[in-house]
Amino acid sequence: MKIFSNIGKTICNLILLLVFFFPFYWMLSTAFKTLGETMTFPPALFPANPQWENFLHVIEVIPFGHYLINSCITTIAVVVLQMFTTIPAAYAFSQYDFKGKPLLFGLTLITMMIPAQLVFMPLFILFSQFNMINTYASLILPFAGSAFGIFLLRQRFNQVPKELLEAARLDKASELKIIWKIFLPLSRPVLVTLALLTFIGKWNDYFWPLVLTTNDTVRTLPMGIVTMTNAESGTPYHLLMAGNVLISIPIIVIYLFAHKHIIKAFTYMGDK
Amino acid sequence: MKRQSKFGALAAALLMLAAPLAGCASTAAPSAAANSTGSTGTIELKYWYCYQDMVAKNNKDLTQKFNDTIGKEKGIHVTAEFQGSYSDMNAKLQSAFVGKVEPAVAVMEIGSTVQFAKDGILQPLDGTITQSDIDDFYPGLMENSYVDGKLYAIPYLRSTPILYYNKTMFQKAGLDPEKGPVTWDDLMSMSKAMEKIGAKGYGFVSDEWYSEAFIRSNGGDTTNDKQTEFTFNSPQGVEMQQFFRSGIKDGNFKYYSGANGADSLDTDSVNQKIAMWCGSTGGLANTLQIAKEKGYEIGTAFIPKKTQNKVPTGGANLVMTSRLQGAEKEAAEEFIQFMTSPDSALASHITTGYLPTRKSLANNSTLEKLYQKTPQMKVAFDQLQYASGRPMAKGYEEGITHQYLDAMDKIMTTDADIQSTLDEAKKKCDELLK
Repeated sequence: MKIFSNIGKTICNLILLLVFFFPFYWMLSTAFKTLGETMTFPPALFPANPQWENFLHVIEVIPFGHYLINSCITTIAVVVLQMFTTIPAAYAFSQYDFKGKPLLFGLTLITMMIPAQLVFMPLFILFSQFNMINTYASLILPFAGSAFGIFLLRQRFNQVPKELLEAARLDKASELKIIWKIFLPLSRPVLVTLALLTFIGKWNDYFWPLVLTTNDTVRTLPMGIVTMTNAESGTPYHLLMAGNVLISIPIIVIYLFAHKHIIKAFTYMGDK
Repeated sequence: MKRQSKFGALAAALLMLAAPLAGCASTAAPSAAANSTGSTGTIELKYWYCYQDMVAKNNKDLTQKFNDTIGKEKGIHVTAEFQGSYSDMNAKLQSAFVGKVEPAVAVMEIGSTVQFAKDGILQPLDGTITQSDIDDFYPGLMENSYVDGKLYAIPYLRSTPILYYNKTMFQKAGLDPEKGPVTWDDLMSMSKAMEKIGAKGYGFVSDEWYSEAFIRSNGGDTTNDKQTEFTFNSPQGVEMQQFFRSGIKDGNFKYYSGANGADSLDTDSVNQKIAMWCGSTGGLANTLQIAKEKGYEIGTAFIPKKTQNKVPTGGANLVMTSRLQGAEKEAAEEFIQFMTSPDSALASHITTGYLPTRKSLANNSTLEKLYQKTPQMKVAFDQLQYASGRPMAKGYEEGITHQYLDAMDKIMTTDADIQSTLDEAKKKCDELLK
């Protein structure tokens, strides 16, 4: 019986692997094809001659290096800023009692339900009045806080045993020290997950740079990739996929380093 | 109390961290304020364009040439800035106008001009180009330039639909590879001939642009002259649908339904499963490149006619925003004149494959050489005399792309009665034109 259940498990895993792995494989394989090969039917699983120059072409067609630097600056700044804002906010919501706490927490959560498409116009006007269109600030500041992050961390902070906190306070540890020495180490998986989700979200963000920039100064990579689709001359799928390969490398690398923490974070959250 | 003060300290630390960031941000980029006269007296203008690759190269090259010649002479400097697709451009132009950071000159998809002119974002260009210049553009290309009788847009990168066919398949099926279909009947009989080699003839999707082309080639149109109601259910419109439906049943046509229809059609054309299809002149270079790679030859022809040759046009014009005045307006006019001049039109045509917009280019020796080398390009040029505008009433696009194309899909995929299906669609979308 055990053998059967193991076989079943393996088959299940294989199917899941295929479902998740295939799109990535397809991206990689298309990235090395010629334009003609991308449209061949039945499609070839492997390109006849790997076209390495597709990658060079992507870098030529869009200002790749410039966009890459912009992507790095905005993404890292947002991740770091979110840590600085969400950790104290989550700590306050989790550990302090103050007037209007449920209301404030509710308001924070509500911001999660307002799509960016609703607020970009007023923010665009605001930024243009401060002469901040086409600056990094316009891409970073709207994401300096994260309601989702506050919520996620607060849930984790709520699970920290009261005894630990009381013991620390008896020893006259400062609040900063309590956060730093007790809460953060205990929440490492959640923090890593949050940082990674923010990183992925911001790294892939297309809408915000699209609507908030009017020239190349601070534009990011996803914009560059999307702009390779041409109006009337057809879509160069091989170049699009080459661009997508380049753009997903950092995410895959970071995930490889962090995946243990992520799995932990989600199993922890399932506990309570 | 103590807790709160600690929290305050943390907040202060945060602020300190954020401050240098805000500082660096404001110095990182030049001011976005759009168009200005610099301290040296040079007039700085922004020019917004769409799409990458050869189209971007064309925009950047021409702008550079302007700055190096006329700009240098008259103290004007134009910065070309890329904005994405036509619809991205429209969204950004609107928000930029509200934020007062709009460009001086922009490209605009021909159908959008009315809305932007009526919203007060554009200004008339009546004084910008001379009457003899206007007369030099093919009249069909000018049809989308006027709003309430005033000139708002000058033809720039323009296209028409043409018929592509696979010469190699024609040869195999015993047809003359140098002759594409001229009439609807040819389209049907040539499609039928492809049965011999186990392929399909004409492949098509439900598409508003090509439908406009075919309905016009039958003497009808999708709207009345004033664009106050849809007329795709006219006898000419019904006859067109009847032709395509019978083509599927008896004429070896292939219809591609659904959201991926256009992609499936592209794939089938590349894999030589269909011999004829419609495409934009803008796609010619890519189509030829793929054909070369896959080892077959491509021919081009006019959109086949029933009663007349008449095709809609597409692409983009140049427009000027409404806040410009005085010296800046004059500078923008110089730029528009330069970008749409016969020389620039020729350069754009050669670089991008978009149409040569000017009649004065008709006997140009550079073009003649180009057409000898790539005769497929000449078809688009020859078809220009039959070019016409596209309806651009507000609500037209929504009506035609939803109700009409849905109706067409229903007609091609079911046995629904053509007249009543079109009548019903017309009833639903006439509201949009009011």
